Amino acid sequence: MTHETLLPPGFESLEPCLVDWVLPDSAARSNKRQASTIEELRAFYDAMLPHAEAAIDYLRNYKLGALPPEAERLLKLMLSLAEVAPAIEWYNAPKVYDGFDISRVRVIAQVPDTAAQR
Amino acid sequence: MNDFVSPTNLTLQYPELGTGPESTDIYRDPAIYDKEMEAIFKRSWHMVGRVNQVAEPGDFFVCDLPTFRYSVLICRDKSGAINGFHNVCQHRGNVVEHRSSGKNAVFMCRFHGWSYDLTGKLLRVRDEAGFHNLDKSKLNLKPVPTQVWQGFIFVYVGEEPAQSLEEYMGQQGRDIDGYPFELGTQMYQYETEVQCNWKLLVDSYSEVYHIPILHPQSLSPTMMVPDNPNGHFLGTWIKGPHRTNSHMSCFTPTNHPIQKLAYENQASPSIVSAQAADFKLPKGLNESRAKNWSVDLHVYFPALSFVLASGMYITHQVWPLAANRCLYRKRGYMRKAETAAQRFGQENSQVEFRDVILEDLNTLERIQRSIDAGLIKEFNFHDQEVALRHQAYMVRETLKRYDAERTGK
Repeated sequence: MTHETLLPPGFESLEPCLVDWVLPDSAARSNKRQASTIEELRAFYDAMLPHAEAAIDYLRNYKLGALPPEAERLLKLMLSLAEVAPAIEWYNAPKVYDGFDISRVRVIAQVPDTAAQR
Repeated sequence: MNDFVSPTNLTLQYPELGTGPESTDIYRDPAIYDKEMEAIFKRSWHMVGRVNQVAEPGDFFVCDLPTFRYSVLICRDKSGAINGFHNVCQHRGNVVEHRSSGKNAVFMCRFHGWSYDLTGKLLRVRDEAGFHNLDKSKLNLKPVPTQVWQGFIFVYVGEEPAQSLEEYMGQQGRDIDGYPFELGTQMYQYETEVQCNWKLLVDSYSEVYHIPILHPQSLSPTMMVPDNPNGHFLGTWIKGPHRTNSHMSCFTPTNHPIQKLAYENQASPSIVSAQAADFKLPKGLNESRAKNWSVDLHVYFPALSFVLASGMYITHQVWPLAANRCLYRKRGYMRKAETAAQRFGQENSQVEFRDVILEDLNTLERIQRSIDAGLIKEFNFHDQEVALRHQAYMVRETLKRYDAERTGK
């Protein structure tokens, strides 16, 4: 029995991130960031950062709507990184500094993550 | 970046606005609020969506108008026309369409089953024999005046529009003709109730005086640059009841690696333009033709605003609920991402904008509490807050005209 490839070659070290950071949509990623500690967010960010440029170079070769499962997982991790980045790079905290309570904000429509866009 | 001359004395270009303090009564007084609803909101066109939401005959969507506590039903009929109706079944007043969007040949009320066609005509009354002298010709869906501007669908909530939508959008609307609104096909939307007067919300994105203080990590690094240390506007243009603020910013190589990676992998330029526009700029976009232009804010009085970048745009809508409450509805319209890498840049743009807005909103509720408690009776506006002065001026002028109309003077 061969080991299933969860992520593209070169990104195997990110496999431990998959459980927590492959999420269905923008709203779920926002909720995950809000529910995490800054230490958890930093651990994810630090794991992703050394691979981020390579991941984008890899994802540039794939059209939305035609992603193999391992590329889709890598994209999902990068989308979580987009959500987490301001917490690390701007606020050094999960929440916006002195910000409005995000639980008061209702998400009405979202852009799909992996489907082809028209 | 070295051609920037910070405009000073924006306010003095519009002497009718004056330079004195502005009373905060219009942000607090329930009687003034009630009059605003009659004189302003019931006499304005309200944007409800875009034509691509009803691309084909039978496509429909429902849009809630929180100020008026009802929803409108928008659909495209078989002739291709876009129709708007009050979403009210003429039998007992339930909504005729309870879903937010879809495709229908007929609308059937999910209460007693009356049905209507795409032109609003009452088609079928279930068990009709049980009614006494029913005049079906008077029981079609009630139409709402519905017009389209640049692909945006607007409705008018009063009886008869005082002016066409095109007239309402005015000079500012004409000056943006040619902007590729149709390319912003990827829409996201969120909304929240804020405990503040509707004008405070419009005001919050209409001035940049607050940027370095309230947005030190998010907006400030790109908007506060050496030759524009206070992040002043490129210009403000008042066009009748409406107004444009033009913003500059610089795509400075950031020391934030993920932010930088995202900016370099957008499907199209976001708020910080690392790429030039790929279309001929309409007159009303970056009107000063500055090199470091990033976005324009176009406010249409009273409460619809567009943030227009060269590769994406946003609409802010504020729906008054009471003198000290409103609903804020934000929609972002992005160009389609082709590749998975561009999807990453697209998501970053959505996340950054949301966080910036979260930075803004608390201040508004705090201001409102100070006003309601009688602790701040006047606002002293900075020159870079001229748009706020104009908003207050427009409210007072419109209420004055309304009073004059009613007293017959």
